[in-house]
Amino acid sequence: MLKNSLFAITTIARQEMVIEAVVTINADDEIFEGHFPGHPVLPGACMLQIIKEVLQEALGEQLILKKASSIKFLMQVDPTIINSLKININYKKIDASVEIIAAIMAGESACLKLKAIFVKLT
Amino acid sequence: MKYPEILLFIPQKQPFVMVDELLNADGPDTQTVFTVSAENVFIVNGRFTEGGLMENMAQTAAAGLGYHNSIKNGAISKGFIGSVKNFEVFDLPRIAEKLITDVRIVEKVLNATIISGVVRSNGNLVAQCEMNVYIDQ
Repeated sequence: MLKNSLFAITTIARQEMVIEAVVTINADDEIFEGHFPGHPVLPGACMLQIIKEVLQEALGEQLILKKASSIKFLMQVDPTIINSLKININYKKIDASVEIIAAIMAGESACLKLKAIFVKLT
Repeated sequence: MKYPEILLFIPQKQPFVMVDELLNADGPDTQTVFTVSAENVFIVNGRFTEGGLMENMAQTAAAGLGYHNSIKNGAISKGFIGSVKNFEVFDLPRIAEKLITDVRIVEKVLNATIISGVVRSNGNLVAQCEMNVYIDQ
């Protein structure tokens, strides 16, 4: 859904415990017609999906968020001004779960910070 | 009681509307209903994803706040999610599932409102969280 329509992954690199990706936001996506009319803002809920989809792509697994203990939305992203975002994920695999601390950056500014646990989708 | 059309009380428009109807807006409590459709932007492989569940709780909170504001001063204010705590997801709903969402205002500090939200489907817990929503005054 979101990937290839709202956003595209430009680069993605996975190392032991670290994933780094760059995504491009499509300002023409239909989501911005409703969020908000005449005032496009990348929804926080979509930033969460972007992190999940980058994590799935890097690990090659389908996941479900089990718990996000903290999600902080620090800056609004107007896709007509900012269309490239950097995703930084520190991850740790423990048995069947993946614990992450992640951030979405626009340049040097953090737009979102997240601490969460994902498990495999069944 | 029958409430007015929910779109009157939230700033979001299609295709980013994640609530169908306001069922209750009594004091600190708000309840909405939402049926997951195949065309929903949060559907991936036939499942309504986590972001959609979070947005459903946020828009339920916004609808309750918007309803009370519209009675008070006739204006709808834009709400933004500032932070979310302890967001737990127990299942990703499937197409045609009917979600009942309850949000309660826990605390109001200046233009920040702290809410707790629960999404259920068929009486089963689907997701819950605490959320800090900022209202543009």
